[in-house]
Amino acid sequence: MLEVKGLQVAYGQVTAVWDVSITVAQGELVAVVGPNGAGKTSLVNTVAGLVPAQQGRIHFLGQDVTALPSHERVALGLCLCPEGRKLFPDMTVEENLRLGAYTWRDRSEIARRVEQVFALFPQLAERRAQVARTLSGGEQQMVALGRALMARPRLLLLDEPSLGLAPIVVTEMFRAIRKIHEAGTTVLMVEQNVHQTLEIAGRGYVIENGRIALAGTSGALQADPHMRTAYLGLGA
Amino acid sequence: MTAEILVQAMVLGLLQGGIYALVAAGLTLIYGVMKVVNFAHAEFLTLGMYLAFSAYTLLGVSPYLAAVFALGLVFVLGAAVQRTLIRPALRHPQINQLLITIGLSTMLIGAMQIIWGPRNYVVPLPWGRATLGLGDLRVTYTRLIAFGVAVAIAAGFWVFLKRARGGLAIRAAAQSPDAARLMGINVERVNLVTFGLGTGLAALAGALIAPVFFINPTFGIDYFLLPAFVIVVLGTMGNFVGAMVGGLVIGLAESFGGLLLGAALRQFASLAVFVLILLWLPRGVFGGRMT
Repeated sequence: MLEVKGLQVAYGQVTAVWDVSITVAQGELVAVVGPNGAGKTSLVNTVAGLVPAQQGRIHFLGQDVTALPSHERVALGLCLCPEGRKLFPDMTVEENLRLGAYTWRDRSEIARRVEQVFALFPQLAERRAQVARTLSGGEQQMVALGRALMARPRLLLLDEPSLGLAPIVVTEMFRAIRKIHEAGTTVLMVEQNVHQTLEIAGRGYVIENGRIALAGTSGALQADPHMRTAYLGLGA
Repeated sequence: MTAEILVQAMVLGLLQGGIYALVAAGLTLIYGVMKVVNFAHAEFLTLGMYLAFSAYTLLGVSPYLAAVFALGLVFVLGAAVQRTLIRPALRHPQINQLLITIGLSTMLIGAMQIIWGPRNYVVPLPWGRATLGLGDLRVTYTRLIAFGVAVAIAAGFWVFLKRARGGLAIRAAAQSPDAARLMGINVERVNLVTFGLGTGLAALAGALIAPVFFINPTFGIDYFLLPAFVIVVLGTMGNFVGAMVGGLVIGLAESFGGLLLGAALRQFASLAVFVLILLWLPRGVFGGRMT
């Protein structure tokens, strides 16, 4: 479904991603883990089209999307829930959600999806008319995730959905992501929370200093000695 | 000072304020979406006045019908300006954009001077001086119409921003351009349309006041640029409703300022309001952007 080949991303003289290749097949939940500053966000931002690729190709559903602007990738079903949530701060919860379905025109269908998001995150329902910037961090993350779902993505890119959240909210967030995946959405998620991410992902890539350092099934990564000492805080 | 004079100052202030509101609405819209301060904004108003003048004198078209064409024509011109001059500068420091719009202002004034000459013109409507009497108060119909249409257009535009899909896209691009892209919104196109609409609204306002004021190439920059900026800052840069309310407030401030200090100092009051706001409420009175 997604095939990234030899991707290189740079900001001026600083190269953030070196020759990275990853694939995601239909129905998978794939994780990209690694330390802060490893290039994870640059990778997904480039896949979503917010940052241009210096080198390499990005294919989505068999189509070369490397040069396609972001909004056209969204229309193909490639949707990013960005790091730091990037909500529309002065709009209500409901307006934020409706914007998620901007590429769709059927009003009753959009209204139905809004209710589906409220079914997934019931506490948002009572805040539907509240302005986004006044929500708690956890609620904002729920809106961001719900907003990304509104587009009915074929591939959902998640960038650090657990960042800055209280542990109990993190657990709730991972539960929601697992639910979304089980309902049939293909997911590529970038996370620093390696332990909980590998619990729900089928496969993962470890990215360090802008390069893929390790790749494999979640089970293999959890058993890997380097992973156990460097990321999982376990003995080798 | 009698009550009638105060009422008159208030009515005239509101009538002027309604026009200010429409002009400032376009300016704040452009700033809100692109973070570009359009120093050429008042020239699009002047252009609207000239278009109405020529439509009337050459073709016999009513200035109010011409206002619609001015909106359309200047929308296209504004969009072309955005595409050629503003868009390439968006990635560069704000000082570049500032110099570009100031240069554009000078160019437009020069072009209007070449086309229409430096003279003052009026749109000689046969009923242009007719007034409506309300007790002791007399107001020209031309001012009443300009006010009514300006306020109606501004209110209609606000409903568009709140309800329509396109309005939602404009507000989204104003609040977070990258997030808007991730929603599937073509932000480059939103920028183009917004610049066209903002300058088009200024031209529409210009056509509406063409029967009220003398038209010359520097009319806009002389009488509308400063109030428009004061209003946009007062109402929080980028806030549409703030520009509406700010327009009426500055209209009233100028009117009462003129009454109390003499016509020569009528802008003193609005500038005093401006200074006080910059000192104590530099982010304006209305808070958020494009809410």
